[in-house]
Amino acid sequence: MLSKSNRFSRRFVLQLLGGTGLAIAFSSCRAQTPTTTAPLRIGLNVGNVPWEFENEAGELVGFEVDMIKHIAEQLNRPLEFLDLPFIDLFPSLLSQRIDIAMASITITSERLENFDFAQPYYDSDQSLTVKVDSNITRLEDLQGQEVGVENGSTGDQWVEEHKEKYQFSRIRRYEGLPPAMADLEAGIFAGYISDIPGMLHYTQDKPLLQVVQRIPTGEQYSFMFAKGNPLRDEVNAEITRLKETGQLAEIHERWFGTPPDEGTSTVDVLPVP
Amino acid sequence: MSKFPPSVSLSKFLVKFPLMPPKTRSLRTQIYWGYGASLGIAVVGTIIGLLLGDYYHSQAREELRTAHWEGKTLNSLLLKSRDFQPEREFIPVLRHPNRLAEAIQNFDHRSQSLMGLIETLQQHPELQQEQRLQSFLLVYQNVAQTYIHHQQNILKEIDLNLTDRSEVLAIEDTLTHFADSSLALRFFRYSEEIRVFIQNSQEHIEQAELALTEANTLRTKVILFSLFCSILIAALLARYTSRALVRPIQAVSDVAYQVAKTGDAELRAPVMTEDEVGVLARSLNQLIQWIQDYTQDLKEAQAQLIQTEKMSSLGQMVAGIAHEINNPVNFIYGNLSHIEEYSDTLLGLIELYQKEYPKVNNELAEQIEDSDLEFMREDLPAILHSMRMGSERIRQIVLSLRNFSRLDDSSQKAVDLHEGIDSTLILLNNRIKKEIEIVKDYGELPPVPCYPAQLNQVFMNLLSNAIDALSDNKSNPQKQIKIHTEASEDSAKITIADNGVGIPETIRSKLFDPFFTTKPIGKGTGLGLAISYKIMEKHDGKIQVDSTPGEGTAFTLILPLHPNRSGKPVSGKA
Repeated sequence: MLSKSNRFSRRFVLQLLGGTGLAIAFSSCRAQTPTTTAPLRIGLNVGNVPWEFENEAGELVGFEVDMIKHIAEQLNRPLEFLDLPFIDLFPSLLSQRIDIAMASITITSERLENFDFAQPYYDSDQSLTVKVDSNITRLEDLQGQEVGVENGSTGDQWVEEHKEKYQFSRIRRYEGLPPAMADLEAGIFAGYISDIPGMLHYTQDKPLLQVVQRIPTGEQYSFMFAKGNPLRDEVNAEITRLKETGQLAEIHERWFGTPPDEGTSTVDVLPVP
Repeated sequence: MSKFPPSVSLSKFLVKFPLMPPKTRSLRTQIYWGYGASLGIAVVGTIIGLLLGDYYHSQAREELRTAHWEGKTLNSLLLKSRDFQPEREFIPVLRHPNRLAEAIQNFDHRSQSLMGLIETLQQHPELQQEQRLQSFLLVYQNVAQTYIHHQQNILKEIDLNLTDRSEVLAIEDTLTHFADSSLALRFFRYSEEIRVFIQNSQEHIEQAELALTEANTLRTKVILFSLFCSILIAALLARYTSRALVRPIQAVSDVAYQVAKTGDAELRAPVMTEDEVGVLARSLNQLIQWIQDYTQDLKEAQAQLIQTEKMSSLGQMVAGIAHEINNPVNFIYGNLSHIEEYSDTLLGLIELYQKEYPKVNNELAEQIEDSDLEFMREDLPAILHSMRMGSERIRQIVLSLRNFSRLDDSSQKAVDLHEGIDSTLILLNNRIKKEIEIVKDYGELPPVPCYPAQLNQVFMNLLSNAIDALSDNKSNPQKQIKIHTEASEDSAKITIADNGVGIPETIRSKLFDPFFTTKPIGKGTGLGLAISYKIMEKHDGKIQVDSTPGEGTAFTLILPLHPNRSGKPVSGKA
């Protein structure tokens, strides 16, 4: 394909032939060298509260949005957001449509095979969310009932792994939280398995829904990168800085109302997984 | 002395300005090289342009081909992946064993071809450099493999001859669940991502097409550039050539024109280069030099010819007059003795008459008294004697004139040089004033072979110069010209010395130059010594001058006694 070396050799030949002036006149304008001021392309799943969602003014806000804004500022690079279904974040990184995927993505060994992660910045578990007027209070109550998950999420994986145990009749996979919640409220399925912080945040102002059970999974969130992308280390250094300066703690307090607990990944500087 | 025959001066000139071949780069070579370089650049540039253009053209074509292939293959991959729809493929045919078997076979076939396509893309040498595509394909291969593997597991469990309705429903349920499973969704989502790469390949195609155009442009530009270079070089060369050629030629032609117009042979063309034009300038300078020399020689020869002609005409006239005078003088001289004899006889007769007849009558006595006979008798012999003296002197002068002109002596003969000197002295007698003493210190001289008339001219020139030198010196009371002759075994030496003013050192070297004279205009021709020098040269002799200002000048002539013995021919030409 059109490798850079070819173009350079062509330019070199021209420079040899006609001097710099001619070479400038002859040279193609296609030669683009990546610059540090190129925008950071962020793939995210808008609506994934409280990580990234649109507020009433239509602005993109959230825990991770605050983080990436700080980081981009430090790296002196503009931001470019691309709203994608959660499952599409993975192939998009591979095709380099985006540089960073952020959607409260859990670091898993399976994902680490094909992707790189920065250090974790949030500890999380799964949760069960149901309608307030249902009589379901725990997972065992879901036997023979349908459950909903975010397609390709760790909730999806957990359900897939535990569907025999709890005997779910069917797994409904959604793309994005709002349609799933609409179906849950409508009684199309009985329980929604998803990350606990998001669900707690979401149900704050939803009187019809409630989180009834924490499902301990010991998950940790981080930004995801294509394998070998040097950007990972740059961003990781910035996360360390955010933790050390206490800025991350401030962000946590802004979105969860309380400062993070000592000993959690939101406070401690951790190695990259 | 400074006078050489033309041949001598030419050879001397050749030594000074040798006709040398161009040593350094000749103009022709420079032009050859210049135009060679110009043409070479054009040709090489065109060839390079063509080769480069072809190289990049083929490269771009290859890129284009690869990009097309990539797009096509990725498209196939995308389309192929869309065919995987378990609920549509299998559920409708569950009750038809043949069609189900066919569907399963189709699935296997499609799976193989999907994996085959992925592998082809992975193994394409050009695409292997594409990090992005390769890492995607690696994951996608895994995702597809997992999906296909699960689907196959499900299919394996299906009994082709399904009869039980509940069994069919259970399988339908399994298939529906699988279609909705995380694995299936992941596979389809990944498959959809192929679009991004298809789009990329479209961009590649555009880039390759652009590169193709660029390759053509590059070819044209390289050719044009080299042509421009060669034209530039040719133009510079033309400029240089015209300058190198025209300027020196202009200078040379200017000089040639000036020389032709003004005849100023002192002009010289500037020798600016060492090439052909330089040679031309040198040659022109040589030519001008030769012309100058020849012109000088011609002038001298002409002047000498005129002088010789003049002297020759004078000589002829003098000889003619001498001959004409000789006869009447001989009448007088020859009859003088008769007159003496007759007058003696007459006077004797008168004496005898007086003795025999002492008594004379009165008339006779008166006649004798009137004629003063006694005085006549005493004076007549004296008159006759002086007449004899006068006629003898006339004879001598006539002889000297004949001697000097020597018309009869056009060929070389051995003569007594003293005779020539004496004759010259006689002719100069009227110019030799009483106060000038001529001292003849003649030694023993054998007859010297020479052209007597020409040698007499030399004596005449030297003696008249000596007389002029003495006449100019008014203060000298004892003016003297000393003529000394002596002979050795081989040569005769004649020295004519005066005790006049002498010749200053500064003009001594110019003495023998033609037209050089110290005498006032009209008196001297400036040719006397020059002609004398030529005459001595003709006799294989020498003329030397020795002068002390204030004391006098001595000219010495040395003549060989045996001129032919030295082997040098005596040329008759003037």
